[in-house]
Amino acid sequence: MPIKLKRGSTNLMQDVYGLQENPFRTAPIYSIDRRGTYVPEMYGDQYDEFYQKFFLNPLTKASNKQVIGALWSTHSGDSLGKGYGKSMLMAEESMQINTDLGATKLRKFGVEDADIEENPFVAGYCTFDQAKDVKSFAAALLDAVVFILESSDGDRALHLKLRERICQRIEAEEGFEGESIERALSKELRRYRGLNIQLTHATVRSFIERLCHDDTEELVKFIRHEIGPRVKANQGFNFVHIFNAFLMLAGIVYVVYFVDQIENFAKFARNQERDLKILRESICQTSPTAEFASFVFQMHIQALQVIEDWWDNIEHLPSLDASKPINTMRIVDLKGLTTPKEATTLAARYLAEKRVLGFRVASELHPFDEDIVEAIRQAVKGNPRKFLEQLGAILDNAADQQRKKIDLPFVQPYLDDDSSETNVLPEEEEYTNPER
Amino acid sequence: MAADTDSLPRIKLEDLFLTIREFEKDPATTLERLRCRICVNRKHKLGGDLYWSTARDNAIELQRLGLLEAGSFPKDKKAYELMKEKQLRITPEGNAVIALFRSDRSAAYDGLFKAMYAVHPYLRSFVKAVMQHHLVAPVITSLKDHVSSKYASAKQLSDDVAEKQLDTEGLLSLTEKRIQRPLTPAEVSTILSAIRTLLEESAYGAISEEPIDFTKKFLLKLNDIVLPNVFRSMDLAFDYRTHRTLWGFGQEWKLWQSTSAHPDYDGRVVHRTATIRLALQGESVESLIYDSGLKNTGENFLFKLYQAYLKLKNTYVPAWSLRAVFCFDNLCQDSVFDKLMEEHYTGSDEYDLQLEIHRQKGQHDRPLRIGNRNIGLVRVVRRQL
Repeated sequence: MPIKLKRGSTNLMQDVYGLQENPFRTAPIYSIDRRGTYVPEMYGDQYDEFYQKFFLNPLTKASNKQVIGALWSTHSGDSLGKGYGKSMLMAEESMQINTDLGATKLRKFGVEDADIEENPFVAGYCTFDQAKDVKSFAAALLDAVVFILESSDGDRALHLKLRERICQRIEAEEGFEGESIERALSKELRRYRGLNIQLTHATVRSFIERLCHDDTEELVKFIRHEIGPRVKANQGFNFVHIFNAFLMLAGIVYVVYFVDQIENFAKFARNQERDLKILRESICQTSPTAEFASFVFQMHIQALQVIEDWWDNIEHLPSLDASKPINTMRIVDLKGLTTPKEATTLAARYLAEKRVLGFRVASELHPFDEDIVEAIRQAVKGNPRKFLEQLGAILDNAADQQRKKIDLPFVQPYLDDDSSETNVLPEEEEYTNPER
Repeated sequence: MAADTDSLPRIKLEDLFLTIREFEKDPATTLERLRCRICVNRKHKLGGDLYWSTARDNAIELQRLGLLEAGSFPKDKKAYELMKEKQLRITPEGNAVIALFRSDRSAAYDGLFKAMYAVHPYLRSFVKAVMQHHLVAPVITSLKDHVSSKYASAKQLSDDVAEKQLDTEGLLSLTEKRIQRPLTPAEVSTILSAIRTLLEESAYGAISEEPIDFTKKFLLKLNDIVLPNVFRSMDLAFDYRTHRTLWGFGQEWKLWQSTSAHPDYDGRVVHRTATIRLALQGESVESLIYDSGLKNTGENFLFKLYQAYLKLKNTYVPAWSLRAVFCFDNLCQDSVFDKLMEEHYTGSDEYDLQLEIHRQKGQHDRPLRIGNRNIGLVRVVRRQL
């Protein structure tokens, strides 16, 4: 139970603003363990573009579905492009897709039921995380595998659902389902001559065994804690290939791996050259991954600067540069809150989550109004994270100052303060002395 | 001895143009608006008083050059708060500089050099010296290599200084080796005397401060002793920061440049990259001739590059050492070399260039970049025709 402070007779937050507490966090940075409120409407047109480029277009192809793309935020109002909701979009959509193998999403985009039935797909999300020792692509993608396995439709883990589909498809012997799947998986893996996996390797064998049996918790524990960092770095992609073969056996036709915080790879990875070679070979040259799995990387200008040296120049991986028109079909550029509607929807959804039960409000934006929300959207130049931070700070200040009505004159000084955090791009003007 | 004392502004020349162009919109502005302009240019927040002293120093220099009128300027942050809205007004000469900058940026930089030359005695002394011969500044950055081999760690130095001791013999001998000449008795005597005073002043700090922090500050103070003394005979007896400021100016004006990457010199070599013709017994500048600009240096570039490469006597040579030798031999700017390398890195029928990408960061302050890559090692091969 949180503490209560003695502040006169009125608890402004509850009694006047109609909120259980301030719904806006000081630093709304996404993490899977602290997901926050997800409002897909805030992405505007880019939401559909995200599905079109990374899912619908690939699914129209019979083979060679792979996209190596990027989710960008190049928005000129914020030269760093952070806080545009890239991580949240990747992770939350992956979770939603995995609940019913993408059926609801395809239906939303007008795909016919028969096609939906024949085209189940999944998506995984992972991030380079120094703290968790996820410093190589293989380790990161293995995290995405766990993400997919653990995804749930609210009833059971996707791992079990995939397993069940395999049992039906291979007509597994009752009581010996795990063994039947293992046999089928080994057979499937042997189909790919380029796939050089040592199936007798103790860790590989243990992984396959757990993947094929029905204890998801044990499988996840094994991947997280029993595959050591060295094995992850050296053989991690093999586990991903095995998992992809497992997905194919379950009739999954397509998988997208979203990779977040790619600039951390450049900062922390010890053997970048080796890792990149393995990455290129694994994602572009090795079946079944090369035809069936897409890889979408989170990008912003700082990340591009960090990786540009080695990405396309050294390893000839497909360029992720958003400024090159040739890459358009593989890149989605989030623009932030471009319309007042996107901003009001985002604010209203956050406020609704903390609204005091039964509290009657004239507007769903109460204690704010549309003018205030629009003024904030403009002041932060559409950056969703800054927008939420501003709303939270203003709400805290209003409550602290016992301000019953939050109006524009009250809000303005806080916006002025933000406008001083310049988002102006560097001047185009050149001041240096030209070469003689 | 330098004839006069001088106060060279610790600024970037391009900031002077940035600052003065603020007056384009309005003939009168304030220090605060200049500060904001600098913040925006550097992509920093406008809040607080960031860059207040940069704005002030630029305005002071512009006033010294007769380009604006403002009267007095704040000495510290507190005074800045009181004076930040004070009006600064552009002069007709200032407007002429803006017009020139808009029409011909190179000419504006040349004009700025001539104007600063006229008002800064230190700059005049420096120009006269660097036009005669290159300078070797024994900048002290390493305890072991530049002070004394006795000091393998910061702790050893701070222990010695705490007892008002320093291996001055080691320092003098290393300095002589670095400047490639013996120190005169007068130089030795003034250096030793200044070091004695420094040790008196620093003994307490050596005990109370962290050895690494203390050592960093101590090395800066040693630079302020050694550099003025070894340059005293050339009339360049000013502090290390002033030398650094002048090295930076030269690169912006494209008139001289400095490098610490030349393998033949254990220190910073400063050499001219243009010819400055002086008039009135060196009191004013008659003309500036950029005789080693892009065009001249670009002629037969690969041959010149090969000659510089041969001097390094190795198969693969560090890109920055190659650049330093090339620029020193051809009296050109690093930026000229970089541009020419960008144009010629594919080689020719006669010369083949092999470049190794440099992936680690921070080894050199100005890496050689070709395309999107930092170049670490270079090999130049002359083909058998």
